[in-house]
Amino acid sequence: MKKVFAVALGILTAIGGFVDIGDLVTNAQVGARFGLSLAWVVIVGVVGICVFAEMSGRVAAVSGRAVFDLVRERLGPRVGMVNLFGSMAVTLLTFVAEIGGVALSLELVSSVNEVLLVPFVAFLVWAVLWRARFSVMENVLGLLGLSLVVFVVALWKLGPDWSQLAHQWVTAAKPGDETWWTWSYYAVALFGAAMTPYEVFFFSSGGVEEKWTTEEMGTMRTNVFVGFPLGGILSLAIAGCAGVALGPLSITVDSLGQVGLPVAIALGKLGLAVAIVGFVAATFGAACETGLSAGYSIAQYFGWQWGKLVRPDAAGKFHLVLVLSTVLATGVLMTTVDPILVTEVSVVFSAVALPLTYFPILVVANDHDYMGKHVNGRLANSLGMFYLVVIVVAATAAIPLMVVTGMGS
Amino acid sequence: MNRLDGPLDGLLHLMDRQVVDDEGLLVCKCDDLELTDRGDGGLMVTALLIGVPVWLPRLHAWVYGGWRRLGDARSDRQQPYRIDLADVERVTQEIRLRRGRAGALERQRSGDASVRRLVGDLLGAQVLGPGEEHLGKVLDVRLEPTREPNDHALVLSGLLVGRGRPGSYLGYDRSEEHGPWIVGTIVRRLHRHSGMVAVSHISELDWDRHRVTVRTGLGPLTHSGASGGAQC
Repeated sequence: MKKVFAVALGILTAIGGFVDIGDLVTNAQVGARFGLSLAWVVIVGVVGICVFAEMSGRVAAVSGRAVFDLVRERLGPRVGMVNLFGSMAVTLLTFVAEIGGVALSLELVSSVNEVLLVPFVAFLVWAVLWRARFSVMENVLGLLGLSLVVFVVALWKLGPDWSQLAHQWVTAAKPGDETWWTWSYYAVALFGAAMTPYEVFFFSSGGVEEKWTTEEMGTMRTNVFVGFPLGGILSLAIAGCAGVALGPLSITVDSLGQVGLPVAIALGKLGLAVAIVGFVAATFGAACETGLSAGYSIAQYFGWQWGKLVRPDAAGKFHLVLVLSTVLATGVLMTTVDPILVTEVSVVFSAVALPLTYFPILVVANDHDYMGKHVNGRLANSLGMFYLVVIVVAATAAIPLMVVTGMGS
Repeated sequence: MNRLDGPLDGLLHLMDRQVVDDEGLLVCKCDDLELTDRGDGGLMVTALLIGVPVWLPRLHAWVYGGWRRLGDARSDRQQPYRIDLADVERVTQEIRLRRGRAGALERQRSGDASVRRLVGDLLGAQVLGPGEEHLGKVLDVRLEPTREPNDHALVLSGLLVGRGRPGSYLGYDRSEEHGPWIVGTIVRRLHRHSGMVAVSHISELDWDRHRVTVRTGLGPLTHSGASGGAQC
C-alpha cells in the first residue's frame, strides 16, 4: 500500500513539476499564433525528455553517481569544462527566467510591480534551497503545480471544435498568415522548452539526493513514462486554450496575464486564481531545480561535496554557488529586463545547448563500468541516437532561425 | 570489485574520478597521478594529485601560464595537493579512502627530481620504436599492484600507445561491448593504429624532451580485466 502511495505521489509530482516558465510562455505563444499545428513538436519533445530522463535516473540508481560527475570522468576535463560553461550559462539564464516568472505570477495577484517582488522571491528561493528537505520541496511544489490541470478544464469548457483541433494537430496545418520560417523557429523554441538541458543533470542528482538504488528503478520509470507525458498534456492544454480563446481575437501572448486569460474567459475569477497558484508553483519549483542544477554542475565537475543530503556546512562551496547564482539572478532582473523576453531567449539557447548535455549521458548510460548489466538496451540506444540527430538539427538551426525571423516576429 | 586488486589503467580508471572518504563524503576529483622513479628502472604511481597546478594545465597551457603569472609571492603555490595511495582503500566507480575528509590533502613537497606526473610528463610523449620509427604517443599507462603487502604503490607495467589524443578513446578500446554501436565503431576505427608496449621494452625515457624510446614495435591492446559493474 505504501508502495502504491509512493508511486502515485511520484507520478503526481512529475505531472505538476513538468511545466516551467518556458513551457507556459512558449506553448501559449505558439497556441495563439499557430493553434495546435506544432503539437507534434511537443510530443516529440516529451518523448525525448522521457528517454533521457530514464537514462539519467538509471545512472543515478545503478551507479549512485550523478551524470555530470561522470561526464568529466568519461570525456576529460577539457570537454567537461566546455560542457560546464555551456550548461551553466543556459541554466543560469533559465534560473533568471524562472525567478522572473514567480515575480510575474505574484504581480498578477498583488499588482505590485514584478521588479519590486524579485528580491523577495529570490530570497525565498534561496531559503528553500538552504533549509527545506529535498523531498518536501519536490512534493509540495509538484502537487501544487497540479493546479495547472485547470487549463484542461478550461479547454473543455471553452467548447472548441474538437475535430478541427484534431485536424490542425494531425496535419500540422500552419496558419496562412505565418511563414514557414517562423513556424520552424517556434518549433525549435518549443523543442527547447520541452527538452530542458538541465533536466538530465537535475534528475540524476535528485536521484542521488534521494538515495535511489536499483530497487527504485521501477518507481522512477513509472514516474517518467506516466508522469512526464501527462505533464506534456498540460503543455498541450495551454497551447489549445490559447489557440481557441486568443487565436481568433489575434491576441499574441507577451505577458503572463495573457497566458492565463483563456482560463479567466472559460472559468472566471476562480479559474484564474487556480491557474495563478499553478503558475507560482510551477515557476517556483523550476527556480529551485535550475538553482540546484547550477550548483550541482559546478560541484560535480570539481569534485566538491554537493547536495542537500548533507548539512550546509559540509557542502560549503555548493551553497556558496547557490547564493551567488541567486544574487546574480536578482541583479539581472533588477535591470527591469522583461522576464518574458528572458524566457524566450532561454528556450532558444536551451535548444542550442542540448547536444552538449545529452551526448554525454548517452555515453555514460552505455558504460558497463558504471551500469553493470543495466546498460542501455537496443531500444534505449536506438531512441537515444535518433534523438541525438534531432537535437543536433535543432541546435544548429536555432540561432540562424532566431536571426532570420527576428525572434519570431 | 576493487580495481586495485588487478591491472588497471591510469587515465581510464583513476584520473578525474571522484574521491570519497570513509564516511561517503565527497573529497575532490583526481586531477593527476604522482609518478616516482625508483631508480632501478621502476616507475611507480605513488599518490593522487589534486589542485589548480595540475588541473589547469590540462585545460590549456596558455590558461595555466596566465594563472602562474598572476601570483608568485607564495613559494608553494605551484605545488599540487597529494593523497598518498596508502590512504586509498579501494577503487570502484569512485576512489574510496581509508580515512576521513579532514586534512586528507597535503601539499606535495617541491624539488624532488625523481617525482613526476602522469599527465604533465608522461601522457602525450612521443614513442619511438627501433630505427627511430614513430609509433605514436603515450595515451595511457597500464598499472599493476606490487607484490609487497605493505607497499600500496602501483607499478607501471605497460604503455598504451596510439595516434589520437590521450582520452579520446573514451574507453571504447578497453571493453568489447560498448553501445551505441556506431559511436564505438567510429572510435575504434580512428584508433586502429594503437597498441601496447611493456615497460621492460623501454630503452630510454627522456623526460625533458618528452620522448620514450622502445626496443620493439607495438603489441596488441589488451583489456585490463573485466569491468565489474555497478555498486560493488
